[in-house]
Amino acid sequence: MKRVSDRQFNIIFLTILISALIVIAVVMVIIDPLFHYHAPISGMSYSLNDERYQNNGIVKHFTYDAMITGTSMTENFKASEADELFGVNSIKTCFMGGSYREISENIRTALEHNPDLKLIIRATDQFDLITPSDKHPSTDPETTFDYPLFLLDKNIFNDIEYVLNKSLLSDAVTDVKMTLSHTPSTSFDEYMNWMSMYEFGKESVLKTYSRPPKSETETPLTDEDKNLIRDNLTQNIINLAADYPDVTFYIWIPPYSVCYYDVEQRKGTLKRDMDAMEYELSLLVGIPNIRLYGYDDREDIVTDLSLYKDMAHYGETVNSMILKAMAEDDGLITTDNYKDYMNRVRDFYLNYDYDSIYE
Amino acid sequence: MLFNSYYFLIYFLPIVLLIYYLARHKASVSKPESKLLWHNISLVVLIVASFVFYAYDNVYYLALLAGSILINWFIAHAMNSSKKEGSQRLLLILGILIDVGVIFYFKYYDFFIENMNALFKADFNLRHIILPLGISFFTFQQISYLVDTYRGETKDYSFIEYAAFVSFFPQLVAGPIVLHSELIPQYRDKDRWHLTADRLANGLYVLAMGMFKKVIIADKFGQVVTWGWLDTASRTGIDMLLISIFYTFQLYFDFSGYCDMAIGIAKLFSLDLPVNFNSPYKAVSINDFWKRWHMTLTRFLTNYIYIPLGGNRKGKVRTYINILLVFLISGIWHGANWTFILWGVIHGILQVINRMCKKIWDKVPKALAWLITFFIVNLLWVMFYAPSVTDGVYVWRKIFDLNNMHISEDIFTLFVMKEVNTVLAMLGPVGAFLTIHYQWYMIMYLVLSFVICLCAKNLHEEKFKPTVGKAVLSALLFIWAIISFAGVSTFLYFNF
Repeated sequence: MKRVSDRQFNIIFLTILISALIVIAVVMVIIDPLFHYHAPISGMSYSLNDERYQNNGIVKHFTYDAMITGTSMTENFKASEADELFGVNSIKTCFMGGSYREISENIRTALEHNPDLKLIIRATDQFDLITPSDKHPSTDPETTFDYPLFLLDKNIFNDIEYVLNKSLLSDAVTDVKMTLSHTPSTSFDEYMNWMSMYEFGKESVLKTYSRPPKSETETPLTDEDKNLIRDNLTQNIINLAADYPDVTFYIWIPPYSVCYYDVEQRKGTLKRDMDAMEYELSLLVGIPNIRLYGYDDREDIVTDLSLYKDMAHYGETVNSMILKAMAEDDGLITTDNYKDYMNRVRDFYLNYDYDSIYE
Repeated sequence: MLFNSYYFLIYFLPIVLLIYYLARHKASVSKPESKLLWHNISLVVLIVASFVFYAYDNVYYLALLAGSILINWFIAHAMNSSKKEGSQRLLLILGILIDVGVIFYFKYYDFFIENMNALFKADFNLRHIILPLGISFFTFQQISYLVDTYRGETKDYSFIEYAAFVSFFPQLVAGPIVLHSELIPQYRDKDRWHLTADRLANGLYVLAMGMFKKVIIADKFGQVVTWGWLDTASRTGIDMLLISIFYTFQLYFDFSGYCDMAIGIAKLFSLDLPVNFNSPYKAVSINDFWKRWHMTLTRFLTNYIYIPLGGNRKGKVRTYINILLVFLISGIWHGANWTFILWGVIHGILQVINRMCKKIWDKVPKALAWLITFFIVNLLWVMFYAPSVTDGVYVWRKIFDLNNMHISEDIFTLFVMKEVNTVLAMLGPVGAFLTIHYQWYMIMYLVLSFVICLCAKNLHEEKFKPTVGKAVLSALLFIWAIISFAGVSTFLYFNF
């Protein structure tokens, strides 16, 4: 190998190092697979495949006037169906396992950046209702997960984790490849849609959990629980609606299957769930720009396990049904009818023959 | 702060280097009367940088580091000022007790209480103390300083020099364990007050190679090792044998890679740190292994424990007892768990046997001697990793269970490197081959690791000879490592 002087070594080494790092960073800023700096370049195809890395950029830089959001219970929504039903141009930014706060932060970012945004369709999951209002995956010790905080702040120094990141660079390469092969960008029908990844039906559902033993005691909904619910909803839903009175919020409760409530009744927490749901409805009804919907009284959905992949997650047929129902105001919950609605739901779940699931 | 992080490499290091050499430059060109002032300012730059480096992870433990430096300095200073041998001895004992006490509290308190509770069926509360970074290293370093002060070897150091020596960030958290006599004279050496092309070249090269060893090699092995140990019951015997070898490599590439980075970074400051690893997996006996593995620890244990205990001067039996004691202490030092103690004691026993049977062992063909040594070292690392002795023994038994020779598919897939696939796909048939025969990644990792460990010359063996190839290769490996610092997190909590 050709011997060189120390000086020459340093020049070669540092030139390669510095120029390569600059080139990589510039390429990342130009392509911007996370849409952190700008909207998608027109004519370029982008792969959408990672909610927690891309949703922040999507809400900041895409052109849209409606958004669909929530947890994995909303990932199978098709934005094109919402566009047709509501006459909008929508995006879908869901957060698998997302907390109320995480989702509402994304909505707030969207509202701050996009004055055209007028319609928000958002699911509120019951499993996470009685939790501290500030719960967030970046601080939750239960999630072994390094949150991409560099996306959320204005500090440009930590963007280095983005612009010099092998995995994200490889995403940028994918985008270039897609563009060269004329593959279109991922649509908001496909984005994070997990429909094709799972088996549905009773057999699959029953495989995903084991029925707990019947608890001797009932856990009631305490005042402390009610405070948590109130704070969670106030901070993450009610305040948002108050801050943006011109925006309509479609808030709805995803219908888990009877298996979910079977587990709850075995654990002795079913009544608590019902009380919590009723308390939630009582806080959300009557707010002028919140339209509230519930489908837990739809026996045709919650008892039909062919629609579910596990005790909670339904397939896209249900998403389509719900979207259509909301557009037609079917399942609308108001100050006048929320008690009746709750009586129906309570009646159904407290008297359901859960053993029949296993026959 | 870790060396393998953006903040350290892209922001911290260049800024500190710049300020340091500005101060050093002032020291070089200033008039004789202000030279000392600028010398001290340069060292204060290092101290402040080191404190920031240390406080980055836990600001409270900076107080511990600073307190430890102050107390040891005062004790050493008092020893130097005292004329009486007796009070010097008392001060030395006091200093060592304080240092050992601090390390005991932070590192072994919970372990001690747990064992007391188990032994006496008691129920004392554990404190769940978080181990301050590098405490094992800077405590040993300061104990050696106290002993050398007692021996009258440290008379003319200033406090600033002492603090800059203990806190010097490249060696602060993971060694090498540097002696005052190695570092402080270099601070004073005016030839080291400016950066020369050869030190820069050597420093960059060693830093880049260390970074590559740590980030690209060790961390990949680490992923597979973590996976392997998650559920040892589901693994086959051959799985666990492979995973033990992966861990053997992970440990070496991780630790020696980190030390290479430390040495490389120190060179950028025109300072030489002692070599810590001399191709340890080339060892042909356990005795040989300990002359090559974590050499500055072995040196510390030899000079400050083994020799004061009488070394090999008091007959064979005492020599063997001394060896066993040193390895027991080494085991305890490595961590608060019976696994480390067992690991240390077995190494000690093997070392003694090695000495007893030296004549026979020397006749064993070198290749066989290497194989036996490597295999034993490898088996003992299993206990080093194991969360408990029971787990360690379970895996040992599993390794010798030859009934199921099936290698789990996950092992192969964990080794696949997406970026290599991407690059190779652009190169045609080789890429296609690797994409289809992805099992080759693991084999490549193993072969590459054996080649580096057994055939490559040690990075520090001889004077660095720059070539175009070395410059290009090390720069590319360095870039590869840098863009690998942050991956993309996967959300493991897949429910709702």
